[in-house]
Amino acid sequence: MFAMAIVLIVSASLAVFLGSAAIVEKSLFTLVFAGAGSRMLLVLGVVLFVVFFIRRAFESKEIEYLLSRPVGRLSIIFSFALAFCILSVFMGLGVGACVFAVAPQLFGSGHIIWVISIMLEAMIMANTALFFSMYISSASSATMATLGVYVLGRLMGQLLGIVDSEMVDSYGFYAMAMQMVSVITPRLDLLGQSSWLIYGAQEGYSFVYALCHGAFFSAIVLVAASLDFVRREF
Amino acid sequence: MSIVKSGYSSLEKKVIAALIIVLSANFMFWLSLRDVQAQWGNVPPAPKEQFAALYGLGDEVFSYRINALMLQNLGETGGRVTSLRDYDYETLTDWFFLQHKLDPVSDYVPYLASYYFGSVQEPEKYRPVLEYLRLVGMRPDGIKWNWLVHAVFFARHRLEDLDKALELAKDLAKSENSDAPIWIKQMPAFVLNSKGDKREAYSLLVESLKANMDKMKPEEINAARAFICEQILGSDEAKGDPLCQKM
Repeated sequence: MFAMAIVLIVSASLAVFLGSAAIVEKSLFTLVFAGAGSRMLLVLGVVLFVVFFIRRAFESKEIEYLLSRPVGRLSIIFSFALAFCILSVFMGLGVGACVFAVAPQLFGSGHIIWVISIMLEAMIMANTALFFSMYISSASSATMATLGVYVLGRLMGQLLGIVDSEMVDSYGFYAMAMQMVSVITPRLDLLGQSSWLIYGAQEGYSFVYALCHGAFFSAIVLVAASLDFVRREF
Repeated sequence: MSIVKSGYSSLEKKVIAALIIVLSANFMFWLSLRDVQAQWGNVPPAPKEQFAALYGLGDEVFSYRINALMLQNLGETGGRVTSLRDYDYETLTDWFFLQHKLDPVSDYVPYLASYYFGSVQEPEKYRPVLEYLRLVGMRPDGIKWNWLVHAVFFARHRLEDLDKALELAKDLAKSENSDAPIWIKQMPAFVLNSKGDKREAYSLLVESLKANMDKMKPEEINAARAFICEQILGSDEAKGDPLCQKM
C-alpha cells in the first residue's frame, strides 16, 4: 500500500508537469493525465498484488493448510475475491484522492462517478487476476495474461467499432472471431472515462449498467476459478 | 569478512582485457553514430477515426490530450526548431478534424489552430485550417464562435480573400449561440463593406439594427450606427441619412 501511495504521488507529479507544458487548459490536462495514469497504475497494482499473493499462497502451502481446516473450497475462493474487492475499493479511494488533489477546483459529480467506476474496474481485474493465478502456475505468465485481458477490455469498444465499420467484412472469419471474444471480455472502455472528470458523466450513463457489467464478468471468472480449484488435487 | 587478493589471476586479466576491448569497440561505434540524430519527417499522417482512441487505450479524452500536446510540440523536439512555413498544413488539418471527433467541447486545439498555427508566414498554407475553424465555430456552446471570427479575420486580412471571408462570415451570422455578441450577426456587412458592396452592407446592418434593437446594448447600437455613418456611407450620404442625424 505504501509503495502504491508513492507511485500515485509520482504519477500525480508527472501529470502536473505534463499539464504545465500545455499553453492553455493546464488544469484540465493535469486532471486528465492524473486520472488516466493513476487508473492504469491502480489496475497494475491490484493485478500484481493478487497474482503474487495467490501464487505465494500456493507455493508456501498456505492453501493446503487452509484446506486442512474445516473451510470449503468455494468459501476460500469467494473469501479471497471479497478481500480483493475490498482492497480495490480502498485503492480506488486513494486514486480518487490523488485526482482530487491535482485539481480540486474542478471537483464535481463526474469525479464521484469516475471513482466508483474505476473501483468497479479494479474489482473486475482483481477477480480476473484471481482466475488466472489459479490456472497458471507462473506468476509472470498470469500477470501478462491478466494485463492482456485488461488491454483487450480497454480497446474492445474500438475493436468492435472497426468490426462494424465498412473497413472490414463484418461477417468474415476474423470479425466473427472478435465478436466471440468480445462476449467474454469486459467492456472496460465504458468505465472510468476521462471526459467525466472534466465534463461530468454523459446523460444516459447508468450505474446499474456498470454494476451489472462488473457483477456478470466477475461471476464468470470466479465460477471458472472455482471450477479449477474444486477439481484440483493436492 | 572478505579477503582482498593482491594482483590479478590469469582469468581476471583476460576478463579485464575483454572489457577494455568491448568498451573500445563501443566507443568506436558511438563515434560513428554521434552525428546521427532524429530527423523530422514533417507532420505524421493522422490516423483514421476508428483508431483514434487507441492511443489512450480506448479513452477518447485522454487520446485527445495526448495528441494535443503532440501537436503543440510538433517539430520542436530534440533541440530542433521548425518554421511554421515548413509544416504540412493539409495533414495538420486532418489532425484537427480528428481531434474534433475525440473531444468537440475542448477549446485547446482550436486555440492552437488559431493563435499558434495561424502565425504561419505564408497565409495560403493556412487555407485548409479555415474549414476546421468553420466546423468548430458553428458549435453553439461556449465561445466557439470566437474561432470562426478568427477564420473570418484570417481570410479577410491575411489571405485577403474577401469571397472566402464573406462565406465564413455568413456562417458566423447563423450562429445559434444566444450569448454571442450581436456584432457576429453583423459580420457579413463588415466584409461586404470591405468588398465595396456598400449598398448591401448598409441594408444588412440596418436590418440587423431594426431586428435586434431591443436586445442590443447602447454601445452596440452606437457602434453599428458609427460604422454605417463613417465606414459605409460617404460624408454627403451620411448627412442625408436619418440614422446619422444625431451623431
